[in-house]
Amino acid sequence: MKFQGESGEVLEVEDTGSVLTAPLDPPFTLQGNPTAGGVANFMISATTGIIPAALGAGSIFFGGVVPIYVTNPVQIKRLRIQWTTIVAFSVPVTRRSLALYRGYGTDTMSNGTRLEPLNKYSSGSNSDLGSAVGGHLWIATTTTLVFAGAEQYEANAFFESPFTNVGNAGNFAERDHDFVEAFGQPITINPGELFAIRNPFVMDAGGTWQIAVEMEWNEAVRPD
Amino acid sequence: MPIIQEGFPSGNQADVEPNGGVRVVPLSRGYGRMFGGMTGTLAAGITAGGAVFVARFSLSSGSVKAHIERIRLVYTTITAFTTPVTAGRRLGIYRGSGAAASGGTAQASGPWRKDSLGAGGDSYFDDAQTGDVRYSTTAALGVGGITFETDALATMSLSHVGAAGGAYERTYEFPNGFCGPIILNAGELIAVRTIPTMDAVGTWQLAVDMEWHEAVLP
Repeated sequence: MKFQGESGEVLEVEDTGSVLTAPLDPPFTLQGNPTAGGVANFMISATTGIIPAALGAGSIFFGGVVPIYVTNPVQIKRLRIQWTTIVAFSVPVTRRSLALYRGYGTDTMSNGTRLEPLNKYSSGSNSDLGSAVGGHLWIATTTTLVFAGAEQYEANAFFESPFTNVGNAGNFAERDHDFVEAFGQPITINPGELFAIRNPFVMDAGGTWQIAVEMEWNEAVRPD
Repeated sequence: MPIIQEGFPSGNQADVEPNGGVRVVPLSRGYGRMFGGMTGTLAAGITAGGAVFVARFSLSSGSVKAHIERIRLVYTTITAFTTPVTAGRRLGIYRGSGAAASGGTAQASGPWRKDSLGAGGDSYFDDAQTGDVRYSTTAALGVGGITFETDALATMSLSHVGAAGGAYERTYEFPNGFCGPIILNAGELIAVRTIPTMDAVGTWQLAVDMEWHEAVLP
């Protein structure tokens, strides 16, 4: 069996079972055909509306639910957050942050904008986070998102990203969170679990802000 | 115990027996390609969904796909916006299909190989192969006949750079280790578009460069 590149073969599996691979220039990691048993890769990006001042701790600004009945987990490999302060906070330099949590205990979301994941290959499959399969992926418009039911979060966040230093109008900060295999393993959201970007601390009474979020993930059989 | 990964179309992608060795041989997947360019000074008030860069992959590419691995956007405000800090001002990278864009300035024909001595013909983005790459000059490109996906693949926030000279650069990388390239079929395109309408005063420019390779799927 041969895998074709533009001008030659990039991998060949011999009848004996041996694998011929290629040290390529530039490197090429084979992921298989995304419509025929390979890895399905997805991405999405969206921006909140203007988030009002003084939202309580634990408000939800971006999140998703993986249906309990699907087979494959969602393996998050990249999460980018772009923060912009629109109206200055009462105390521009003060503790404020957003954090990523995993949880469980609910199956639907509401009260924002529902997002439909994009397969990086348009001929590929629907994401388990998309409405066609029954998952949920949402971003806030002007207030907190809502999970149906009583969601339970893990005690610790995967990361807490500080925005302490960007409390004046027009201040901007960008964070790239990468979770690829080279750094251990993707963040894995198994069927029946959820994830959410929340504020660990209440936001002060003056400032308004927005975030843009980009997420990349794949959906494939667990590596173990 | 053998390790078997089932593959396409009917055989195994990998079948490594307990005593099976893995050999490495020099083979080529095809060469990397790249182009870059910049818009003119874009007029104020470009409406929501206005395309300022469109690259269409030729309908003639057959089973060859474009595997986009990097897009770099460099934005500069030329004339200040009415409200320099405006919530929601942003650009998006979208995928679409259906037709080529019109207007603006088309990229000159070229093979766009990173290695001029490399094998492989013209890129399927090249107009010689019925592809099309163009940048806006002052107004949004014509996008009649193009259907874009609803959501952006990526977003570039610009709320904070509305004063004259405000600049912001973003590099979007899609290598295999990070969930893989964006893959375009024949006739599909990648575009940079305004998401909300830009306000009535601010003018701006955008540089776009893109890196990719062209190959059939395994």
